[in-house]
Amino acid sequence: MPRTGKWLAAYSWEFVTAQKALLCHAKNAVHKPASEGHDATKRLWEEQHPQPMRLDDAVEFCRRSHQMAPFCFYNGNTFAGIIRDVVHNLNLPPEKAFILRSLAGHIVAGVSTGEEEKAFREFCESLDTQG
Amino acid sequence: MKPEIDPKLLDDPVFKRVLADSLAIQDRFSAEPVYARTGKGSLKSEGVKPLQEIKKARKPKPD
Repeated sequence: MPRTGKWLAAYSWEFVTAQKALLCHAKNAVHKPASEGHDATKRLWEEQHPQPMRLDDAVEFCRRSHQMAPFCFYNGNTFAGIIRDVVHNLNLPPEKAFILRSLAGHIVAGVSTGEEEKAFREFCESLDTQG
Repeated sequence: MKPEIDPKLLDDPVFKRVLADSLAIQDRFSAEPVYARTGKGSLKSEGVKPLQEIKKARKPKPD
């Protein structure tokens, strides 16, 4: 399996925004764009999400999008949910998939340790060498 | 009021799967944009139970 692919191509900005709207609805939170982060994140996402990128760069891109806070509420699980789906699509054995989803989710959430980041990077490096 | 979402998205299996997972992890996240404000994210631990369940499901059942 190659390390580089169009990992985020399936997740348009419309997809992101609709996810976010329903997540806010579930918690009776206001769904609205943030005055500071929205336009810049939207522009960056629309430019970058269809492009081929390394898996670890896709995780980093989701982390950065979370940190840019395009919405007033629930940015974290919006972008973590997307990267967890990317890992889901790798069709790994259940235990490994669980661990890698957690690692990727922690990185996107902004709570990962150096060890977790190293473990995820090593997994990504192994992709090019797997059959 | 439920937000208006394109019906094509609502029928999209990828959209449904991501939404289900994001809702499942939602309570672990802070609603507020803490990461943008502080540079440090916030996430409650999910504990070891989910991994234990995966391991349990994998173990062959005794005859």
